[in-house]
Amino acid sequence: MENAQQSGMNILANSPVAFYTCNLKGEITFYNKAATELWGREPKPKEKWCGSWKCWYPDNEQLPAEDHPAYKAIKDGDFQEKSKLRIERPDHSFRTVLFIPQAEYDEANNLKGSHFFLIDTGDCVTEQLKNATLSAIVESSDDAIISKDLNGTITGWNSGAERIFGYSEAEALGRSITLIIPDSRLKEEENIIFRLKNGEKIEHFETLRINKAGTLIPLSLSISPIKDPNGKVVGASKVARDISERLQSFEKQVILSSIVESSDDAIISKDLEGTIMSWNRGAQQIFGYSEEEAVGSSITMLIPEEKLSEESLILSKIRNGEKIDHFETVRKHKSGREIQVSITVSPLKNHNGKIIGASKVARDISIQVKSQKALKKYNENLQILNSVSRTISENLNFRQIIQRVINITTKLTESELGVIFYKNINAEETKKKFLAFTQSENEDDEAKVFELQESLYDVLESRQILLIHDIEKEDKKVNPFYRKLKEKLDYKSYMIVPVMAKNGVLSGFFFFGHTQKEHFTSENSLLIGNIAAHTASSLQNSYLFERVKSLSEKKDEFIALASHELKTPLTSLKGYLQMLEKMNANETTGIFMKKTLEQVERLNSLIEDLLDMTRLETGKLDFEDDLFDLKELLAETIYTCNFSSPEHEIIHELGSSPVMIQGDQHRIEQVVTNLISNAIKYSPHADRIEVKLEVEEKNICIRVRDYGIGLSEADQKNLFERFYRADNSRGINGLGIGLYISKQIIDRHNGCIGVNSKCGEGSEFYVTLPKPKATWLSAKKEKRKE
Amino acid sequence: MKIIHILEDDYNIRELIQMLLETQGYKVEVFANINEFWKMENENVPDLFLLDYMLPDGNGLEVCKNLKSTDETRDVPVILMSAHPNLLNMEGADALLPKPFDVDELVQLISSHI
Repeated sequence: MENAQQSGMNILANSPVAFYTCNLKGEITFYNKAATELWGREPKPKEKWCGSWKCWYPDNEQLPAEDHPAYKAIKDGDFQEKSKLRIERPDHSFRTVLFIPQAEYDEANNLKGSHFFLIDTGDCVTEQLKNATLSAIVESSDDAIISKDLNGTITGWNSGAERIFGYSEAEALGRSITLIIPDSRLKEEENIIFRLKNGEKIEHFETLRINKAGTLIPLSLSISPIKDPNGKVVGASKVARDISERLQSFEKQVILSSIVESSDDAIISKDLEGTIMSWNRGAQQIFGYSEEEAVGSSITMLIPEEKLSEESLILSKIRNGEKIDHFETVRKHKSGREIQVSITVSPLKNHNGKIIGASKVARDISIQVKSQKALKKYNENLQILNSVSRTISENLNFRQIIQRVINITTKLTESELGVIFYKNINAEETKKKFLAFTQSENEDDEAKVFELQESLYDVLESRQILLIHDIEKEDKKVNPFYRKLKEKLDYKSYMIVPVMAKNGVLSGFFFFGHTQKEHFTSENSLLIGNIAAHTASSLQNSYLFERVKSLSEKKDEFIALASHELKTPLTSLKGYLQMLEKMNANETTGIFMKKTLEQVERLNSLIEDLLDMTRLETGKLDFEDDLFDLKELLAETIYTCNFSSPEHEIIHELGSSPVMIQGDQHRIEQVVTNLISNAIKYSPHADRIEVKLEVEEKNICIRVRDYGIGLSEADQKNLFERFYRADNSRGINGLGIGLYISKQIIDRHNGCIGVNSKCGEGSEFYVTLPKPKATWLSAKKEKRKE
Repeated sequence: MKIIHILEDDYNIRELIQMLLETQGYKVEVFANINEFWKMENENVPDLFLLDYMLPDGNGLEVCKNLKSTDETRDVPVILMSAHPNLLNMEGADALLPKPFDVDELVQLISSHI
């Protein structure tokens, strides 16, 4: 009995009919697989009465527990036959069942429980309604719903089929289904028919069909056999769904997501509160956070504190639908390190066009920024170097050069201490005595004299740039110099750059200090090394210049002194001669006297020329500023010169009216006398000198023409140089300073002096002077009225 | 008789000027250096001073300034002579005479200031 019952239970367990048992308390003690399928769930242990989630009357009224047929059967012993129920499943779908309770008795014929059969009857609608509903569904469906017989002849064609395949119902009915099957897929159809004949259903089979226009359409097919009332397969219904759009968007998504994933840029999306919604591989690489860490966190974790205001600005722009393009800023890596990024932020919209967040593409531009910075730095350094070189090469003043260089280099290296030590050129024992110059605005500050320690001298003799990154770490025993630095100064890092003269001798060094460790970079030292080299050559030039200048000054002093000494005896000589001349006894001694006095004058004018030259050199030659008649001046000068050389006739064309000129009358006379006496001196075999005065539009021109030995082209070029004498002038007296002085005088009058000449044919010297300014004339007139 | 004091270190020039001016009817006193000059100046005031610029114990311009700032000599004309190149810069004297000079020029200059 026990066994028989057991085997009966086994049969029930595998039965396609839903079946379960309850004990007298109503607790479910057994249920089969079909029951769980019907309920859509498994009952909990000791669940009572029924395993369904909810039970309803067939007329859609909820069934109270005490009205449940199982309750009635066990509590009341009411084993009424076949009640109809609707079972609601957890997924809210319904099943209509026939509920059949059967009592179980023990051997003493006492009720020990009950078992129940649940027979699925399908939904309770009339067949007619069902058919009407179905054909409405078929007609309104967007899917193509087609039926065919086993020969493949189309027997049904809905409007969805017409839309997808382009054939009308009339065109399609009676035609073979191969109408919509591309040649390459014909075998598929045979296979489908074969499976249908066996009663098989084909679901969601994705394939290609062809429409009337010949376009291939991707479809998802579900094909079910149609059976006659006897269960014989007579045809098939076919539901075809156009999946081209789905495929397209799917493909698009696949492509897009693979792009996003493979990008080296960080691609991040966030909502309008700034919460990160997605995070690609690039984002992980750039910012260091994994996708799990990032998604759900606030975007602010990537933003340095001082840049937080940026984010609210960005979000407010996004809310307005604006895009932010290539915004360069700084973001923070997981490690806290700052990263230079260029970001582009665009609003994200849902299908209704509402802005729901932002997508953000961030590119790590640290390397670009770094290389840009390096390039900028390089340019700056180049500019500094240029300006330093210019500053020091334009200058020949030792003190100024050295002050400017130490000022610039101290700033450039951002040093706390900057000193240039330079050999004291003027000191006798120069080897270890240096002058020290520190940063100062005053270029006249007295330099401190500094005696170099032996140990430092050894360091410098190596001629290498010395960089000390941290004095604490240097071994002070190895070099006593480091020990001295440590003892005497409070700086941590040092840079010492030797300055070498052209002959390779140490002429000085730059010394920089800073209280921070590792302050000086090798880039610094290269730049300063360059500047040191420039400085060395400039200083050497300035030293030579100063020497030449001091020698030249000594020479000027000497000439001034010598001329004074020469003039003293000349004064008494001239005086006595003049007194003697007054006591003159006879005609012969009178002529001799006159000639002697002329020679005294000549001697005096030679001394004057020498003095003028030194006065011009030192800028001590003073000029009067007066208005005078040049015509009168020329006439007088010609008159005087006529006496000095009876062999030459001076022919002149000076015009009839006065020619006013502004300047120093005495100096202009000096120039004219010089030109006429040269004309006489360098034309020993000619007898004619021509002097012309021409008034031009803006200038006044004096021309002095001779027919003497003339000048070569080379001589013409150098004629106005100091001490220059023409090649063919040997044997003719002169110091070579007359034309030099003339040129200086004319230059000071804003005029010009020049020569046109040919060897052997004579020369024409010309002087042009500007006409006096009207303002000058009126000012002078005013003065005269006073 | 008008009195002229001459300060000139060069013996020859001193002699020349003294001789020249005495023939013109002036009473002349000569001094070879500043020290000697000041010793005498305390005693009497001349009608004109003729001073050389470059002197062994100073320069004529300083002497001139001194004379011009003393009440007794303030109104006495001073002629400064020099072979010094920067004669034009010497202000404070009544007249300047470059060396070497013409004897006539000297005589004329003195007579116009005395």
